[in-house]
Amino acid sequence: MLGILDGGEAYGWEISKVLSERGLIAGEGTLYPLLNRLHREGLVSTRWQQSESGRRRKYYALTGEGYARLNAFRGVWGEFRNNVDKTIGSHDGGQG
Amino acid sequence: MEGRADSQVLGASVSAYLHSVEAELATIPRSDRRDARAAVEDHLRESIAKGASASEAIRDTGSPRTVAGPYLQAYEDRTGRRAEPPFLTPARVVQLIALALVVAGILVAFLLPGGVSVDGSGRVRSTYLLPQYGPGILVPFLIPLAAAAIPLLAGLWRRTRSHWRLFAVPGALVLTGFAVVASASVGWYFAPAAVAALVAAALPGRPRIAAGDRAVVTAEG
Repeated sequence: MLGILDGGEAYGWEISKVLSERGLIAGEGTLYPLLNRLHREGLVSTRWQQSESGRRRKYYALTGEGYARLNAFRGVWGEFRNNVDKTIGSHDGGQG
Repeated sequence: MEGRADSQVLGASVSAYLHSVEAELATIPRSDRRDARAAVEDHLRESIAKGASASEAIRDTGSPRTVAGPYLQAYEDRTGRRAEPPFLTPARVVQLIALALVVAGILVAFLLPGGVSVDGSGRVRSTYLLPQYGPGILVPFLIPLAAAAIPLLAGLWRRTRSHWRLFAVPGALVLTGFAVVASASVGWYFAPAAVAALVAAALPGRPRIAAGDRAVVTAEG
């Protein structure tokens, strides 16, 4: 979620489409409680803006804390991903 | 009122879908439920405005149960309380009445004379079930007792609490069957309990949406 917002602010529907297309959420409607939690934790900020159709949309953007959390996660994720790759790779080698 | 008008503009299928989502969220506070409904409704509107049909928008949004899951989890995380159906729903209150009536029926069956007999000296004596048939006569009465108690016992465990009718309907049918089969003797004492059990089985197992919201009552217990 934070990674998607790293590219700039977005509204809920846009975010849900990206996550859905990447198979990262079960249903697009499941996104909003998580966005609420990120907002409560101070990782994202929100603002309302009128859409082309005249209805109001809520836009989400990373806060400074959100950027810091995302960068911290990137540091951890790289090492985690490498360890998983090594583990999977050695298991396949054992069976071969 | 504004929400209802908006939902009508979206169509009956979307309105029904939003009702189902709200029903899945019946166990969390009204304000949380309304926030959830508003978010899901906005999402559907956005999808439809971008060219999706109502059915496509609903499909992509997720089943009501899938959508409700994170909201229920968020409530539990925030409050430390489980978002689960309460034990004492109207259906279970009526079932408790049915159980009380079964107990009353058993007491009446054993305390009232079941017939008369004439002893050796020609005296007419009242007969009672227990002295006449022995302790074994208690066994058949376990049937109506179990039929009334099992639906309530099933509600004590979280896993079975949401499956009200799975237990209540067979229980009501067994109790009614007992009252009918034994109608030549003690069956009539259990007729009131059978009626109460049938009413309980017909009631929804989940609580209604709070007064003031659109009334949504799930058929599934």
